Amino acid sequence: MLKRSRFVVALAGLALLASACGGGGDDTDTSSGDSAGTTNEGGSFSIAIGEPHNLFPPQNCYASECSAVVNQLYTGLVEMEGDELQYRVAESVESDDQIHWTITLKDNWKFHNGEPVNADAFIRAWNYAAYGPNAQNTTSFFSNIEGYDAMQGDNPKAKELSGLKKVSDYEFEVTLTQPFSQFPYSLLYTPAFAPISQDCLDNVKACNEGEKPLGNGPYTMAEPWAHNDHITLDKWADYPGDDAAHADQVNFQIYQQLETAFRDYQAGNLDIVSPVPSQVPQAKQAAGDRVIQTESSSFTYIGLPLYVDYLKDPKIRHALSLAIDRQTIIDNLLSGLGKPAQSVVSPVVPGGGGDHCDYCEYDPEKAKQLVKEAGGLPDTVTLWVNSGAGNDEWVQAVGNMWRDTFGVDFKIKTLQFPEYLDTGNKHGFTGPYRLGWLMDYPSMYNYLQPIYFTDVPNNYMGYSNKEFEQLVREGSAASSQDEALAKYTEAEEILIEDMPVIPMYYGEAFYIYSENVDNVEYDALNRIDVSKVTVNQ
Amino acid sequence: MGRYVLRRLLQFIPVLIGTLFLIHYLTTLGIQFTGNPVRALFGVRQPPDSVIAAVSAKYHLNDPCLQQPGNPCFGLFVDRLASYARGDFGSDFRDQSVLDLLSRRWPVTGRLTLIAIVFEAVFGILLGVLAGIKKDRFADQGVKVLTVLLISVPVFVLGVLVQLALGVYVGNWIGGKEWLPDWTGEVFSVTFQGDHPWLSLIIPGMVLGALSLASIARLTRTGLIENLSSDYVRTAQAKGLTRKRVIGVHALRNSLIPVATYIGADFGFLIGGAIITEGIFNIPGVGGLVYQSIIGGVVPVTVAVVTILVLIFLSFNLLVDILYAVLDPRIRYD
Repeated sequence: MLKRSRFVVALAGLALLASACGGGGDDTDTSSGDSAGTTNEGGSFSIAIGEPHNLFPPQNCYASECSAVVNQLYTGLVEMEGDELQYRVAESVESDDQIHWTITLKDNWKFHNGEPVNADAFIRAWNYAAYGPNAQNTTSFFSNIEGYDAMQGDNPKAKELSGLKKVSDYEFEVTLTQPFSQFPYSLLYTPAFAPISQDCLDNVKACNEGEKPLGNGPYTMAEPWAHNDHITLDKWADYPGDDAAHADQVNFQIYQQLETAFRDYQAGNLDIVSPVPSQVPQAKQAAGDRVIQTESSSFTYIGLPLYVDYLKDPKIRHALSLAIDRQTIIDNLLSGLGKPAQSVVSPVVPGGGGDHCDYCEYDPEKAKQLVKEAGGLPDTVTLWVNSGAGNDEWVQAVGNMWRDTFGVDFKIKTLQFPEYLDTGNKHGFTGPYRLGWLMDYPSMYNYLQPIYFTDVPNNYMGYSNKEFEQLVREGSAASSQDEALAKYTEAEEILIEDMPVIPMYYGEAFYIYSENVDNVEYDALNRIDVSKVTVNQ
Repeated sequence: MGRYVLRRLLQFIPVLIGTLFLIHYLTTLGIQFTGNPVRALFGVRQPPDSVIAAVSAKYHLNDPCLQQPGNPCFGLFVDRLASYARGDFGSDFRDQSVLDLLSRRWPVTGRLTLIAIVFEAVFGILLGVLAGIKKDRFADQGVKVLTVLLISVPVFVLGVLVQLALGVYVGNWIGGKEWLPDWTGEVFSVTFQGDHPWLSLIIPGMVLGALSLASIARLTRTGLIENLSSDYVRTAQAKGLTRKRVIGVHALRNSLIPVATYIGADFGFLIGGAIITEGIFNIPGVGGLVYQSIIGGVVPVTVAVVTILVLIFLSFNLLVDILYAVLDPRIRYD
């Protein structure tokens, strides 16, 4: 029996080795070369994704799989180029008081069926999304527009947002409930704020079940969505924007498990793929320099429930943070895909990635000192983690580091995600818990408000600091982006000193791409910019 | 015979209702103890409670009994039976009706099952006969080694190895050869190809059937060896029948009774989907659907699919029982 298992292991090793070599061996065949000089229009390429939640209405899409496709089918009001906000369908998005926003549209945009993309196209979409009984997943994006509350509940009083007023065919006004300088940035979450054609809204079911939603983006559906298999998009020749697609066709190959996708890449059937962490070393070898490893918006933290007695003392919170060796965890347990976090706002966001934390370096001596000053830790610390998301290992490592530094025992409590969140909502965590955050749109506000304001849905710490909230509000009322970022940063500094969460790491995205494609970029909105990809022919 | 079948069919009814209730109860308990599955839809970015409530209401997850651990929620069960009677099997969180989901996935699983069954039956019986008539000789030992290997290598190891060897390695080699017919590329593909729904399932089907192939070979071998030394075979030989006819018609037919039982059960088992094999080869079959619906707490899908699986399993059991009579004339049903 022992002999057999050794044989199988050897066989497996051999196969892995062989396949790694097989993938790497192709590197010599660079007849097409990098297309830095030449422009390659046309051609088709493929990219791996998971089965999307839905494609229509775009407002029901609040996950990365569906937004990867929705963002190609729909073009929003604004776009992000580097750190700069750019207008797409919008001519301008302006406000004097950060409450009343005037959105002017360019008049040359059309849906794939020729319908004009006008003020009505946005108003009808936003009203549809805000209407409670439609139960759209992105509905909370509209909650700061006037009239949202009247549209909620079982029998809402209103069917339309009173804060949306059409001024002319290509201009409309949005009235918010309070000043929000980041409003133009929030529009960057295209699925929520996409326009909908009258054709599709009249018959949501038809557009959905036909599986060919009509958008206004650089690509159109080439054929109905082949569920669990592929989604094929064709370049839209009449696209009016200046960010038109380069490739004629893009094929989103749908995978149940991304491990498989990497093997398809090795076999030459797939052009762009994000291998799972365990495949990263092998993938780097197979892809050579055709690798993208760059910061993503994900921020992972250990929340500290402030209703737990021993965590009420800030010294203890600082000490727990000082006793964690983040780099070791990233290198050994996360395949190096991450950066130690020195604060709570991801570096992909303008103003984010700053070093505001005095307690995020690994310093066990100082940690012990602080715990001594605070009067010690309980004998046993309970760490909470949700199951099945691959976090168990590094949370265990954090427990070990605390045990080694403070001499405390630790217990790990694992729950399934819905129950985990329910427990958090009911303030049932009995110790530090792991959670994370992904941005909706690149603004510091999107990292500060949704987790740390009093009683917001993701504040499981029970954190509340009026001074912090006041500074964030001042940032939201600021008339310039510089002023806003300065206020947000001030707020961030207060927050990190309070330390309601221990910042752990900022995630990194990892993609490899084949010889078939070039200009593969991971953009400021955390996705592969599909329309920029060129095909080498 | 007719009465026997009718009696068996009538027995289906209580089994079905019992299964329905059991699945209903288990899924209900799942929600009561692990929380509202709607929360998982939003991941780390939880929306306000009003949004959770609206989405829950849309998918009928707002019944207060779902928050009382242990409550069997009879009301919901009756509602479900009533909507089943109307032909409404519900939908998942993507607003896709359960019937649509199933009609997309059954054909794939059906094809995979068929390939696996044909493969395991043909090669399993052939190997079993070979081993049986060459008892204790080289061929027999060879089959023994092969079957032990197939039985002891877990399917996720076998699947990944075959995928790397045949899909990646052979597939890459084929990719550059223009003189090879196109279909070879489809057979040796890493994953299932929707455009080639048969060819690209051949290798996954063989992986899926490998374990049962080994069992069938062993069953056939044992049965054949036993029957070859029995009286009626000796009689047949004494009559002067050819060895081919003695083995092929007399001995083998009796040896196949346990094999038929096995294949019948395997059919019912495989049609329920093969989660691991489907996962490795990215095959959008029933197994993945059941797995995802359980993980995601998509109750309507779980209940409907599992109930249909039970029905299929029962039918195949009945079919196998009827087949006994065909294989062995001594067995009679009245």
